[in-house]
Amino acid sequence: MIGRRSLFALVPVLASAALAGPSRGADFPRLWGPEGDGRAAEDLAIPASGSPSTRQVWRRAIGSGYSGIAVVGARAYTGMAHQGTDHVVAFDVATGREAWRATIGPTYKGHSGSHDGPIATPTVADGRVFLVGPHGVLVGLDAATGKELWRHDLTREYSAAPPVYGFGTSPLVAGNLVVVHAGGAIAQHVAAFDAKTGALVWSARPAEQRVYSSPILATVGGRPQVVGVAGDKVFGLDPKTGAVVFSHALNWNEEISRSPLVLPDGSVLVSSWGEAALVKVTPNGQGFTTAEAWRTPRLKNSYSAVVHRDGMLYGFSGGFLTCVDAATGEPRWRQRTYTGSLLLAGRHLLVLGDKSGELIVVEATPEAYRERARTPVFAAGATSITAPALAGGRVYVRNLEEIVALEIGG
Amino acid sequence: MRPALAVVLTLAGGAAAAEDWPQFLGPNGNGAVEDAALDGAVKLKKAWSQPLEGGAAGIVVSGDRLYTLATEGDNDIALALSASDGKQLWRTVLDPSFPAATSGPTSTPALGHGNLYTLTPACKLRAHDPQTGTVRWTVDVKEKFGAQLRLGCHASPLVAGDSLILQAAGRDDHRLVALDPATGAVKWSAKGPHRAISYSTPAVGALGGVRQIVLHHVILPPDPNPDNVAARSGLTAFRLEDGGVLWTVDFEKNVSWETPLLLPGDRVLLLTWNDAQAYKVTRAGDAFRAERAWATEDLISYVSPPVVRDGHVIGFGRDFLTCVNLETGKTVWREKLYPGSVLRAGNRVAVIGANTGMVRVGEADATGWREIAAVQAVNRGASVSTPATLAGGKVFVRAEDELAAVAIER
Repeated sequence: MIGRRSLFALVPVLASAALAGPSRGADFPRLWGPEGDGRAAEDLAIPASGSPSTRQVWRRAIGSGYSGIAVVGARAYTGMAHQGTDHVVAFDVATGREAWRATIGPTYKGHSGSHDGPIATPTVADGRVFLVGPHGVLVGLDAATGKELWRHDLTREYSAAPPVYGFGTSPLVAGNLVVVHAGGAIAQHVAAFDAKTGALVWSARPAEQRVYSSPILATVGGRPQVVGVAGDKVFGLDPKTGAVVFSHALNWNEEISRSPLVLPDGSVLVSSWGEAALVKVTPNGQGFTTAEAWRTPRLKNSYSAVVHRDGMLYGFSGGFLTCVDAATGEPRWRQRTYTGSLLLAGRHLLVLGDKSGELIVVEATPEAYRERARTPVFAAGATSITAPALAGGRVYVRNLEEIVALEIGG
Repeated sequence: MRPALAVVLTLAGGAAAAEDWPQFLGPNGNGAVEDAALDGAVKLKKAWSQPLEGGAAGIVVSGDRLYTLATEGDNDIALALSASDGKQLWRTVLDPSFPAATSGPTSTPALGHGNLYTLTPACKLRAHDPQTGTVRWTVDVKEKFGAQLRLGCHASPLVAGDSLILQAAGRDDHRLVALDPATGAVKWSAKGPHRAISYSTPAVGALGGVRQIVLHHVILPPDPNPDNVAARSGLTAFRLEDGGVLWTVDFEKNVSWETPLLLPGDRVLLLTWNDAQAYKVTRAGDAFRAERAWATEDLISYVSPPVVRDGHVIGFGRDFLTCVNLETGKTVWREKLYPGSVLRAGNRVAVIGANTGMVRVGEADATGWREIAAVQAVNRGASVSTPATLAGGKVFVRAEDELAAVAIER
């Protein structure tokens, strides 16, 4: 029974994460965009009024997985299961033709409501692709050929414990390091590897709980940090050394799935299945102090990112798309759209209904819910929880069966 | 049954419609009725719809009245609607909504003994006058039986003979209770065999010639976190007349909150989130024994138990409507319709999409699924997470935000 299961938060807790790396204009190099904050680098080219048209550029069959789509240059990358093996797969963005696939390992079988295949999204940087498979194998691949450069088995090498539905954390590239939030009560709770050689450079244990969430690189209190969240802590680490810069205790006894979101003022939004909290992080002499500005059940966890634009937060609260004032946590509007995953593209929210299979364009404004377009992309009822990607004027969406490139315009 | 309609339908092709649907999974507690309500060259047409704020309680019908529970503002309410046009006849405010029950009330009311019975997530069991909604008596299940459920009370009360049966999830000696319909007084209360919990509605029927209540219990792992999927399901049967334990079985693995389904041949089927397990119950004198007959991963708990037709079990396994052989558990066919629930009237099966918003009627026999009619009953993407209702020539569908009536026309 769906109702009962979601009551128990036993629903598959998936694709949530974020990674870092330099913004590259039209690229979409990792989960939830260049900064891992649910924002694309570009807006949709749609007119100020009237209904924009939608054109399908290509559509291809794909194997199962919740893995998001990373787009860099002429290639789109994602993870999928196919015939018993989990893969990283690269598609030609012009045609959708498969360019290469690389083996991660045996397929992670879906269970207790989840589905087969990779959960995390590939991160692409400097000609390399990184992905953590659901069994906990981190691979570094050549982006052009898919050739494996190095791999680490987080469970075997570091005794990392998989969360209930398998590892879902997406790697963060910070400078020449690949930072992975393995989670759990181990010395390598967060581990940073040399992007080129795969050598372990530093590790840190700023928290104890297992996670699906992904770290991001953001400036907090004037200092660039690797920001991560587990149920017991939200923390910032020095990207070069892994030293803890700030840490704030949380009281959530669960495997957190949504990446932290850092607002322009350096405060950090974190979410559990029951509520969201905004944590103010303030420099104080050598260190930082933290305090919670507010908590709200209005932006509790979902598969979707919560995004920020002009002092407003947009995200899902159950089946409602919701706009919340970042200063107060108070709602501005809510609209029943049914559950979905969203991406902020300039002045627009691009929402993929995770059960309707419809792509919706909504204006990102605190004034009211204003829907600009609605297009069926996937079969109604198919599980489609992966957030859209936007690069070079094209929208890329996938579900467990298909991957599609679209153009939305005037 | 409305006599005039029955005459017309009988003349039109041997069809009759319209038994009442007095409780969860219908008059026989198995989602099936032995009539011709879905027979012939049927067409489906959305007859009416009423918006609802929230909740996932099922719908019960007596004559031209239907009843359900919903959320309204900060409260849980019971309401009665006209089955013919959806007009509200009465509403009664029950309890403030229980915060942890994020889907609202999910317990389906029951009709019997001249009462309408309701149970809220706040664990208040009430008997109402079905004509007016007036409360005749209230039992505080938490206070009286010590129900300790983090997410509140969600089992559906059941009418069995001259007793009201409730899976009370209470203290060890109040797992299952039989109440006096006139007063709510305890007739008997039964002790469960384990440190176990349950949110499930039991099944009532005869096995080995003895009327019994089959309760789905869940054995928690030593880890106190009840979300842990290391929890295991099991079944315990209680004698209907006095609550004496007849037999019990613990599964080796897998869990859900599903309702057991009694199969022909003294078998019981329980769907978990990873498989379906069938147990054969045998009786030697007063001693009962349950042994596993078969298991399949092609049927999985989602919205409703399967239905039985002609030696086959027809239900859902992930995206597929699936038919398995009742004797062997072997899969006979699968049809990709995306997740949903099933109900059966005579030889026909109705499939209600869990997220497609569709109601489909077809033939589902040993040779496969043949759709005869379909209609968009509720919005694409809306969650339909409770089994549907068939009564008075209509299929009633409860979505998260809407109650819709689909007329079966010929």
